[in-house]
Amino acid sequence: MNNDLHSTPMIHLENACLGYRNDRELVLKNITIDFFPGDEVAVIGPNGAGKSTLFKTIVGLIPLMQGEVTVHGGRSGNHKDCVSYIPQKEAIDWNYPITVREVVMMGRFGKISFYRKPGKKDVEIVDSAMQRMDVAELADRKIRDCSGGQQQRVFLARSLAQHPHILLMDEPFSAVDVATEQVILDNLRQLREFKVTTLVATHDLGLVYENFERTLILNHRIVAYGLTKEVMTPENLQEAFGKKAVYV
Amino acid sequence: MNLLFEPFQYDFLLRSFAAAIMVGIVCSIVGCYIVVQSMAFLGDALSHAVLPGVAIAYLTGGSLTFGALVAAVIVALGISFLSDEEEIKEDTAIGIFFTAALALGVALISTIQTYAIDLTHILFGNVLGVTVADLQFIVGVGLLVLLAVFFFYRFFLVVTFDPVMAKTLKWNVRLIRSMLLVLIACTITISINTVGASLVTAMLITPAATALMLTKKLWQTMLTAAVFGALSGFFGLYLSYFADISSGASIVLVSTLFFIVVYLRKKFFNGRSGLTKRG
Repeated sequence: MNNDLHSTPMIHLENACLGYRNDRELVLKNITIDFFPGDEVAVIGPNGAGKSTLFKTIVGLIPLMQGEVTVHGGRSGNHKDCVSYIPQKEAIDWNYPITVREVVMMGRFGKISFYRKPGKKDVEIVDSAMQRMDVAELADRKIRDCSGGQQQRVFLARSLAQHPHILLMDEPFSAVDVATEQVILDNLRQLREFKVTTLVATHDLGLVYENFERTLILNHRIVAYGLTKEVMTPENLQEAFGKKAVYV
Repeated sequence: MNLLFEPFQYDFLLRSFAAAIMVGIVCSIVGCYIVVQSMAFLGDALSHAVLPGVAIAYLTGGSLTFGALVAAVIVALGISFLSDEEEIKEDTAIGIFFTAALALGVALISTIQTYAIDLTHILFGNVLGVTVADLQFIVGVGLLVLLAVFFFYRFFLVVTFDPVMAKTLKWNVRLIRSMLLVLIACTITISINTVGASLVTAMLITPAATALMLTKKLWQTMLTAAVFGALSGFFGLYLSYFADISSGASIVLVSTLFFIVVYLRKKFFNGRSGLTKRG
């Protein structure tokens, strides 16, 4: 269904080489892959396999070394705020004097001109995003005083408020409680109905098997990509993770 | 009773009070950005980086304050430029630029035969010597800095809290960071008359750190810090008049006292004081 001949890819990578300017070794070599509207993809692979690098390249945080990456048919980095990226928890300074509502409102900043105050519509969008992520009652709490799971939900609420076409989440399930995990999964399902393309990097293979329609297995190259039930084979997992692969 | 109001009879003292309060407010507000980013080292570095500018201005007979401003802005932009390279971390860039500027300043000053009193004023401040022109400079630049913080609040908020988000929004993070550094440089320049280059870090850090313990939002932190900064400027100067101690040191000690009181209150009466509840 997703690979409908008539639909154009949301994200298109062709012979893309990904890595960092000053490292001699590329992280991902010659990647060719398409993601379509409404694709909900789990990205798995060992540490250092290139999951974060893939996300950072798509969102335009690091330059492409070689090849081509297009978002909506345009070069990556040219899109103002249709790509929302939630980095790993460690990338954020949780001590900052900022409330939950203020963080979620940041999701609107790409759409409000900078001399304007957020309007009534923005406030409504923020309220509904907080409700969907079940953090509305924490709205006036300082972000530092939220639990790890709550913080993760606040950041997903910010992404929802951004109304993105593409959502990239780097390990949203690490060190969160079961309730948070469920709220995140429920919302990913809703995003699929809005044709949002979602890529989620995770280490939780069981969770992937149960909840994600498609899976991308990485280890410095694409080991396998396709329907989860088809690509999560012992052979593919062993190829990506080595001998001590987890059987699911 | 009249004795308590004695300082306010003199024009030069009124100017000093105005300067101390203005500097207290601007330093505290701009200092919030330094505290939330854990960049106390940056404030210290920039404050010492004014030295070569001051020395060159002194040698050429120019305005010392203007020399300080130029030097601080150059070093701020230099730090911003260097730390954009992937191999060099920001605090390394700060360390390199700051020590180089300091060394240049010391080298230039050592060529001056008679060690001038003006230069010690740069290091330790001389708020009692604030002229009308000095006060105009302090208030003028101070208001510009405050206007910039007000106008660009949203940009500075996102760039200091979540620079990755700012980049994904395609904002020019490097330009915004450079602007912030220039604002800090301007703030330091207007402070050197009052508290001196060697103590200005305290005015950037202490009121902001005090306010951070009591507030939940950045703008609340800024306004609260401004109150602490203004009170420190006023009472510090007032005490220095009666106790006959260095005004810069006195201002800093008063702001430290506020910090200690708030810290102890927070530690021993947690949850009952302040605006923040810890979850």
